[in-house]
Amino acid sequence: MIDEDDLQAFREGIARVLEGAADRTQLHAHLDGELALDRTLWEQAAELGWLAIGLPEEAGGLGFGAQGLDILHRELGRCAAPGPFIASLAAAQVLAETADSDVKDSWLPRLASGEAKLAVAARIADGPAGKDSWLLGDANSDAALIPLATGDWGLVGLEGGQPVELWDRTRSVLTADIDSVAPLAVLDGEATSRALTRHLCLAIASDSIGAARAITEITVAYMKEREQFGKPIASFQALKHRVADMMTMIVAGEELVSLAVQSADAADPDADIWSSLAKVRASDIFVHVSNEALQMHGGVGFTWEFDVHAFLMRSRLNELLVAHNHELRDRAADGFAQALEEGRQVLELAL
Amino acid sequence: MTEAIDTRILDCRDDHEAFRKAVQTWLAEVVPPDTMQRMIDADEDEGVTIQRDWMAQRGRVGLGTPHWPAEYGGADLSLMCQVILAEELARYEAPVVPAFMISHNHLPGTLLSWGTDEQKRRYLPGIPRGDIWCQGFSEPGAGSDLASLRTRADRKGDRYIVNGQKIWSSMAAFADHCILLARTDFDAPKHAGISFFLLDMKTPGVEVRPIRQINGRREFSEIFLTDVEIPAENLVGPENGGWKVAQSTLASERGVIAFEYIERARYVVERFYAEALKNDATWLRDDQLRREFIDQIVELQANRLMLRRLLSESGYDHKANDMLPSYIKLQGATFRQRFSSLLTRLAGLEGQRFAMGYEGVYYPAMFTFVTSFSWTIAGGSSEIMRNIIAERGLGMPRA
Ligand SMILES: Cc1cc2nc3c(=O)[nH]c(=O)nc-3n(C[C@H](O)[C@H](O)[C@H](O)COP(=O)(O)OP(=O)(O)OC[C@H]3O[C@@H](n4cnc5c(N)ncnc54)[C@H](O)[C@@H]3O)c2cc1C
Repeated sequence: MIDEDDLQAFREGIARVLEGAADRTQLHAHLDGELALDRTLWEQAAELGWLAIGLPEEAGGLGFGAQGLDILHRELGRCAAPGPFIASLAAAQVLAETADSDVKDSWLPRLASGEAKLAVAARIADGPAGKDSWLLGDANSDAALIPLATGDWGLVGLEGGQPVELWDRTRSVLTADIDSVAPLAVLDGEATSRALTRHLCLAIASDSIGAARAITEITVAYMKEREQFGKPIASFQALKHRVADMMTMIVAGEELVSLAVQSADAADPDADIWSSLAKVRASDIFVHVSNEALQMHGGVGFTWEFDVHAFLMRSRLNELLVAHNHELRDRAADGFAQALEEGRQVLELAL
Repeated sequence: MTEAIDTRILDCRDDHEAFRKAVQTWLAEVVPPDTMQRMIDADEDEGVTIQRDWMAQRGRVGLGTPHWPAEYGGADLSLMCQVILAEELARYEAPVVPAFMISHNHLPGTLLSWGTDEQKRRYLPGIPRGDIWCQGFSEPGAGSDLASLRTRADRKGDRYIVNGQKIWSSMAAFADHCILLARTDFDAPKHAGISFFLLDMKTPGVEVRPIRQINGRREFSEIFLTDVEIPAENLVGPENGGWKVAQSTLASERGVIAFEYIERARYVVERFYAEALKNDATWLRDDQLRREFIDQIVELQANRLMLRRLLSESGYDHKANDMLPSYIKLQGATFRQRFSSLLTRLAGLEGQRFAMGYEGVYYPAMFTFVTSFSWTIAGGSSEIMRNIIAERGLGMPRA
């Protein structure tokens, strides 16, 4: 049982650091190519132990599991923070769950300390990685976790990876000619693919819901200041109602993300259903809220100078990572059917 | 006057698991499997009879008004035990009791904060015995803008003479009493001239005319009030202070009922999907419909999770979460409407054959769909919820 106060302290600590280390000015400097915020933030995260948060203690981690990662990703999402956090932290969790002990011994301590970084297949639904398949993660990642032609998964080296220029400048994706490379380690295909899907879905869901709340707050603050027709635009009911709907979705979405996180930590047999659906709902909300935020900013929303675009573009990438949301809905539908068939009370919730 | 209460369930209240088991054992004995169908088949009178009988049944094990203080015939049951009870009532498909909505919640919610000792002693004990109360707040000219109400109450010695018209009053045709708002000062600002009364529905001059609803039932009514005399001792709170009293009335439903209703929806969803799988329903092969169904499961779970947060004794920070009831109301109403709309489409043309249902039972689809509008209109419409969230929750200025 993780102590609630520890988690709360952890959340506050992260928020405080990010306030100073990843504020809007720094974010824009990064977007303009004047600051490598992805690198400085990663280094700071390593120093502060954030990269160890989800890993078990025996692997050099802090043992906060999915709950700890949820806190970190929500806070990173709130500032649209650049860096390979989602890919590398999800891959680390997967190794801790599914890899052999020699693979764990050689990778987990280095991942926990931030000395090593991993990239991952950007889509899991596509089968074996080939030439030009997209890898989510830092261009200098030490290896990538990908599906192999054999049906297993492997950690492969990334020599010659080519960065893809993305609309979302807070993320990095690369392509590499992988099929010619011998894997550094081989992992069980079924278990790895499931675990990576789950951890990526959780990370994207947390990032999305944190970001959705932040861009909504930014938008409401702007609407209170911006005056037209002699009054703040925040007083127009047509806009108020849209904002109220955005917040209602976010409050509901936060509960779904927490449910998915808890069922993952509890190794619930239906955890994969909830992580898939948390990613679906949270990324849908993030896309919707970012669209609305842009519209409510008017002309300044269309500029590079304002914050909205960083969130809007991040939302479009989040939506498409791991698998399309319709594919995840189909997976969940099958999961429900199977759970009902096996007589599980799949909708039961704890009090 | 009353038979002795069987306390075997209440005796377990300090051990939540034992309490749950005891409730389950009792429900398995006393709820026949065809209960929901009996409610659907019942006309308005029979529906009320089923509800009264069920409340009497609950009373025999001390679960009639368990959430009340012991002093007024309650059991002082903890919030956690109330939630467990609601969860099991839903699981075992015990009868729904909408006729007692005001009696069980709004009346005690008001009297316990504002009532005189005499009022509490006089009216609260009648409720476990089955007294039905209705709420006479809305008027033809005062709906969302309730404070603009114009029914008048003029003080004459030790009584008030009331004239005016109320509308949409649920269960008024069955009610013994009414909580009534009337204007006692026409010169004051609109919120400052309203008073709160307890009205005996048998008083001369009270005329109730049921209104047929969209779903075919006659559950709400108009109430015409012509020179109705209300004794001054039936004023609740100060004269012209009724608006404030009404705020505690409207805030008195702490979420346990909304919780029970949404728990009932869960079983309908689960059973509907299981049936569809068993019968290999054609819609399962339609990607779009299946995905829409999944999205509704997601919304259902979100509502249940928000209610759990609202009701969790340990985790509920009332200050931080004071907007949560508005989010729950808006999201839950939207869910009900979209889900029942989807069920209506899935039911196909056959679903358009007229078939009666019962509030809170969630089928047949078309009945549930048209009834879902009660959630988006009554008790603060969805638009009013959006105003509250934006203005009170997010500090967006009034126009
Ligand atoms: C099934 C049912 C049961 C009811 N039971 C009772 C009862 O027992 N006792 C009782 O007193 N009343 C009862 N009511 C009445 C209910 O409280 C009112 O219907 C409700 O307050 C809305 O008022 P109205 O019907 O006059 O609609 P109006 O207030 O006229 O609203 C019409 C439309 O305008 C919108 N609107 C109104 N004001 C605003 C605003 N400021 N901003 C944006 N949109 C706005 C509304 O959302 C709605 O869409 C019941 C209603 C229903 C449907």
